[in-house]
Amino acid sequence: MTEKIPLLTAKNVTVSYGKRETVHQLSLNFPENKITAIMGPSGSGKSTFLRCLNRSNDLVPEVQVGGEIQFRGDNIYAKKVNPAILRTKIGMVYQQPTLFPFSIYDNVAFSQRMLGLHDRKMMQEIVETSLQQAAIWDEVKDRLATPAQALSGGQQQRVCLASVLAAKPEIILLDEPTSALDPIASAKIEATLIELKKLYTIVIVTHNLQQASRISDQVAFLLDGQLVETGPTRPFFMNPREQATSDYLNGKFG
Amino acid sequence: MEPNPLFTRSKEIRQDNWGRWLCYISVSILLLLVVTIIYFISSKGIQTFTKNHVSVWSFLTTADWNTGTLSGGKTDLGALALMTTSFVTTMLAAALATPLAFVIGIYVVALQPKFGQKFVQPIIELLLGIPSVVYGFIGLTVLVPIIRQHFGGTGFGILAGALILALMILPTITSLAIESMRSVDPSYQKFAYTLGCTRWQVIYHVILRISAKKLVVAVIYGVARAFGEALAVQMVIGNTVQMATSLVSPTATLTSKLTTDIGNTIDGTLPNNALWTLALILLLISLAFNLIVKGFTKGDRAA
Repeated sequence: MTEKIPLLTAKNVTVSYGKRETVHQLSLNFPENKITAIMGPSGSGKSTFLRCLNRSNDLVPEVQVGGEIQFRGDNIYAKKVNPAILRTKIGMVYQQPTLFPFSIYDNVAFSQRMLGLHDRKMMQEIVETSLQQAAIWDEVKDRLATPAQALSGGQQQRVCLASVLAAKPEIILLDEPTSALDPIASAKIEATLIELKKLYTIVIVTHNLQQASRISDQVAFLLDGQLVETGPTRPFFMNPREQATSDYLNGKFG
Repeated sequence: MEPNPLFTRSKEIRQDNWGRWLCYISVSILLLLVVTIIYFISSKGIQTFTKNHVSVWSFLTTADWNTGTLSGGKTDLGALALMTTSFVTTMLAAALATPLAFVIGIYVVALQPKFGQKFVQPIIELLLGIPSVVYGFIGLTVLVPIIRQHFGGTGFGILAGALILALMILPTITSLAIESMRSVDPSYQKFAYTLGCTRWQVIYHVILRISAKKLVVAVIYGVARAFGEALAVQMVIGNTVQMATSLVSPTATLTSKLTTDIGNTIDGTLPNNALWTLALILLLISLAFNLIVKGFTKGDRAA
């Protein structure tokens, strides 16, 4: 019997900015159709680590990534990998909702256009499905041609998510996606993510302990670029193994 | 009794008033200058038509520049050749300079920001600072002989003028293009990469698309500069008022005609008035460029 190839695994990942190493020897497995929450205080390297997972760090000068990240068994940092295609397979949503100064439709259709899809009907279907999956379709279906930047912050973030989903990814990375939003908008995003894990594998970086405990299946706790503790969400919060985790959960730092 | 501090006039308040008046006066002087310049050029420029009875229509549609009076008091004065040469030279210069300027802009903004900012931009700024007479001199001593050798004719003409103008407006368009492309929010680039763009797709579908309007404005500014440039053009265009038959036949532009003749005419006579009319045409055209730019940037939040 052959073992099933895991969807996404990080093996001994090290990240350095110039000479400063900010992530040390981090190994983590991301189970399929689960939500993994990466937690830790500011500066613990969690966002840096997340950006390695779809090679967004390539765009930052002087960043060196060591170790290996495997997507379906292939090292994504191998020379033959096409980073543009990789990023459509592993999408990313950032903290600040970012949308182009185009219409809602053009924003969501953008990735497919870049991939060369020109069929109008197929495009419409993809845009509608993506907006529905991001739970924003009902709010915007009558104004798809209006500028996306006129929407509220929470709506924009969900259109961002729809734009990422339109590229037909397998994994969605989210970097504190709700920290710029109000509680109601955050709750909507959380509900959406729980729905989405049926179809996608989700990795979310969050500051918010309650959020991590509400939506995640697995938690990884980072401190100073090191993985302190990882495991299923419930036991992690109920009885953490490490003293540092317990201190963090009790608000002693961070 | 202590004076009520609420009603004291402080030094700082007086400073505010002074500042306000200083601004009013400066702005008034500016407005006055603009109005007088326009009035002066217009009043001089229309004398060709009102005093010397040249018809506006023939001035704009005939190509012979004859400031003498023909038998029977008729005149044969037309600026069509000058205007045509001005337009053709300018457009050719813009067509040559624009692609190069955009590519340099892309290089500086999107491909090699560090090297671009350190080396390319200072070079562009250096080019901006070279006086036009120096460009003209280079054109006269280097460009004209080369054109004479390879394209025939005397070497003077639209081709020489357009090449020199292209060189002159290249830094103008480039630096404005860099500014426009740089004003595209970097988070858009990040988002585009996230959605699976290649570098070229980011440049074309994000940077160029979002800054398109401003890039058009950059080109218009370049065109306006080329259109108004006199000295460098005068040195290489040939200065013969005639419709150019080829890119290498000597001709003249509105501005080169002005610089060539301005010292050789007597105030109040037709030859002098005709030059003022050329100045008026130049003024109106630069006004048109301004209006086009205004029209383009209207409704733009950033511009």
